[in-house]
Order: sequence, then structure tokens, then C-alpha cells
Amino acid sequence: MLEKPETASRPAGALAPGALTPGALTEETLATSHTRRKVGRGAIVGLQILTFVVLMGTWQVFSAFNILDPFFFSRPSDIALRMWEWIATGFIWPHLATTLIEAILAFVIGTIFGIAFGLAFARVDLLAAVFDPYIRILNALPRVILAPIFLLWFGLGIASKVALGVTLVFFIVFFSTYQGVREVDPVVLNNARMLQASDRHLMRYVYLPSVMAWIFSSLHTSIGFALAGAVVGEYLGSARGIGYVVAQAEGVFDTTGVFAGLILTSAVVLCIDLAIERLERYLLRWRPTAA
Amino acid sequence: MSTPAVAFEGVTIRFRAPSGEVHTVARDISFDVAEGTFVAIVGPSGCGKSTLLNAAAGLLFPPAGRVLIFGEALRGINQHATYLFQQDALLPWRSVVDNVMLGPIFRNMAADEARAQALRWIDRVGLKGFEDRFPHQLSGGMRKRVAVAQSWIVNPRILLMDEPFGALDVQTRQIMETELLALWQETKKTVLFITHDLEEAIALADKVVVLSAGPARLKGIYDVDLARPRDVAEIRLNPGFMGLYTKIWADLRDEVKRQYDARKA
Repeated sequence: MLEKPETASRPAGALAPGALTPGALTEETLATSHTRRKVGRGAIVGLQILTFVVLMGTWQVFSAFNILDPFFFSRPSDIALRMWEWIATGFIWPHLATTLIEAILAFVIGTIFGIAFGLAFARVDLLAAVFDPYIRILNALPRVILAPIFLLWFGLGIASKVALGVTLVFFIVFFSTYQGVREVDPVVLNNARMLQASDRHLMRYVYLPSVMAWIFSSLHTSIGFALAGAVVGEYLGSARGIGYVVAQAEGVFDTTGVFAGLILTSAVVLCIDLAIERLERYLLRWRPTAA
Repeated sequence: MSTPAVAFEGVTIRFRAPSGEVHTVARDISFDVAEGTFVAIVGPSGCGKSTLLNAAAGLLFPPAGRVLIFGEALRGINQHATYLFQQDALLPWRSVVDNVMLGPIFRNMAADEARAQALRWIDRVGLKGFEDRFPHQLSGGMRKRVAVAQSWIVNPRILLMDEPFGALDVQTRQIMETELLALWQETKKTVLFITHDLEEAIALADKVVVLSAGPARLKGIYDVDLARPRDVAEIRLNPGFMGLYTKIWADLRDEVKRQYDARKA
């Protein structure tokens, strides 16, 4: 287990991104230093770089000797060159911007709806009881299947991608919100009520902060899904965006372009993840395990 | 005699367990708490003491009997009382000062005024310098001090306490008891204090109410006529204290044993 202690409080199903970063590993070794041999941070970074070099080197050499067919597997040097071209010529920026705008819109809209419905369902038992099976059915549906319908309804522009992302983000935020309300410690709640908190006060000072904590904990997953919705939507039909670039490259059997698109996408997600981790550490600083 | 601060009139409390079974936790309990007195309620663990306190807080409504607060039947949350819980009840995401100022804020006081008042109370409970800490950064005793400030700042006429120091170590507990008494001595509020520790009850209270094993019934009420101000550590050696302890313990012992046997069975 390489999970950081704080990830234990993540809602079920949420991934633990960063679990494989050197930081997490160091924390883990510190926490269990009695039973495990300590590995220095420098050594770990060194091993990580070594792993990268070996993997890329093997790939490069294998494709050079045609053990890996460059037509299907491309070459690391070609991929790096392609990415550099995209950046140097400015070709990639409008696509990247489109994808990010779609993801951000999907995230914001999905979060707003998720919080609203989550609060309503958590506070009104009848709603939760009646709609429970429908929520389950909708959540069980593989959302990618909706993409063709959204393309028909909303066209090839960004709306269909945002819609797909919203269906992905909504359920994560919805369940986090629902959980956040339900998991409020009854003692804390009673204490606030004894201090004469009105319903409005309870919402603002007790329920919402608890809900926010749960939503922040699932930020990695929800933002990741917002991006996934955008890219998959673009891939299936669009005129702009990273998904579109990948689909175009695939259409002309340009493996190098496909790989470059993939790597670019994961680089973007990684940057966002790092930023979220900072944000999360600050916002959840009141938590014992985050300290 | 003036109207009692809290009056239990034939209070019976029942719960329906998830299995559908009905549990009676308290049966036909009647007694008065005069304004300005410190009353301790003792009884075997799990006899329904907390339930009774929750009825006085208005957190639950008894199906039979009623609770009168200053002569008025209680409906909804008790507006005159604050509550010191055994568990941590602070909002974990708010700093010490933000927690203490909650009561005034809920009473619609302006934020900066509430903050100034909260800072005074934090000083008073000896936590100056810890205003901006989060609850998890404090020790159990310090969190209790914050809770004391939080419940005292709104100047309630009644303080309900449910084994507030139960989770603390013995030394911290005695310090907190002494400070609680000092604070109470200054303000003479009505206190309803639940505990299963008879020594604590006698050391602190003017009156000790003994409840029977569950379902709780009134077993006896004892006046504690020990001089004030008291030192909770030294009073335990006072002959008057020991006499009272022996007398009340004779009552309580049977109930503790009954409760224990019932649990075992």
C-alpha cells in the first residue's frame, strides 16, 4: 500500500492520485520506519529517472531495429519532436484551450447541480427514497454511451462535450455532497443547535463546510472526469480539441501524433493534479491527518 | 419559593429500536432544580442519564410527562441553556476563536463584536495564544476549555453538562473541575451535571440526584452541605464528604450491581 494517510478519508471509488509520487513514498516510509528500511528521497528520484531512461531507451532501440514496428509504435524521439513542433508552431494551443474550457465548464456545471441535488436528497428523505433506484440506474450507465446522443442533441461544438463531462462530474459531486451532509457528527450538530443556530446557520456553518470537505477530497476524480468527458467527446466528433487532434492523427495512421496527444493529455492532467493537491492541503488544513 | 429553573414532571422516555422493540430508558421522573444551584445526576453507566439531559435541552421530546423551564413547558430547543458534551462538539473546520464566537453569531451579533467577546473568553479559560489553532491541534483538556468558553459566552441561565470531563485524565480533570467551580461561583448559573462518578458529583454539586438502573427511576436526592468555595482535590478528604459518600454509595451500589448483572445476562 502506497496510499498516503489522508487518502483514507477519500470517498470510496475516488482514486488516490499522487500515490506513486516520491513525496507519498517518503511519508509512508517515515510512518512505518520501524518495520521498513528507509529509502532516501534522492535515491528514489534517481531510480525513477533510471526507469524512464531504460523504458524509453528500450523503446527507441527496439523500434530502430524494427523489433517494434515504428509504423504502429512510433519512436520516443519522433514523439518528442512532434510535441516540440506543436508547441513551437503554436498549433496545439487552440486545441488545448478548447479542451480546457470544455472541462472547466463541465466541472463547474456538474458541481453546481451535484451540490444542489445532493443537498436536496440528503435533507429530504422522501426524495432520496423515491429516486434512489433511478440514481443507481443512471450512475450504472457507462456515460460514454451517451456521447452519440449528446452529439445529436447538442451538435459538434463544445456543448456536447460539456454535457458528457457534466454527466460524469455530477454523480461524483452528488454522492460527495450527500455523504457530506449525512456524515455530519450528530454531537457537533446538536451543539450548534444548542447555541441557537437557525436552519440557515446550520446550513452555512455546519452542513456546507462538511460537504465542501468531501467535495475537495474528490476534486482529483471529478476534474479528471471532466477532462475525460471533454477528450472522449472530441474524439467521437468535433472540429477542435486534443481529442480531435488524436482522432485526426489516427485517421491518417499517424501513430506519432496519437502518442503525442496522449502524452500531452496526461501532462495536462498531472499539472492540474499538482495544483489541486496544493489547494487541497490548504483548504483541508483543519483536518488532523492533513497536518 | 421561586419557580425552579428546571422541573421534570413525570418524564418518561421510550425509544423504538430498529428491531421494532420499544425500550423505556427513563420512567416517571420528577424533580426540581432551583435557580442558581449546581445539581449532579448520578446513576450506573447506561441508565439513561444523558437521555434525561437531552430532554432538558429540548433535543428530544418525552412522550409522557413534561419538562418545565422557568415554569414554561419546553417545546423545541431550550433557549435558556447551553450544553457541554462528553464528546468533542467543536466544529473541526473552525479555529478556536471562530468556534467560541459561534453563539453570539447565531444570536445575530456583528462579527467583530463577537470576535472581541470570544477573545476575552479565550483569555479567561487560559487559552490566550491559541486563538487561531484548529481543534485537532489542541489537547483534550484544551478542547474542553474551548467548549466551556463556547457555552459560557452567550451567558445562558442554565448549563447542561453530560460527563464533560469523562474523557480526560485524572489530573486534567481535577484542574478542569476546580476551574469550573470558580467560574460557576462567579456567575451562579443553574447547572445540571451528569456523571457516573459519585466523588465528582459530591465534590461539585449542591444536590446529588441518584437514578436507578435502567429504565432510570428516581432513587434519591441528597443535599450536599459542604462549605464553598471548595477545592475538589482536598474536599475528598473532608469527613463530611466521606459521610455523604458512604450514604449515597449505599443507594447507588445496588443499582450499579443491578445494571451490571442485566448487562451480563
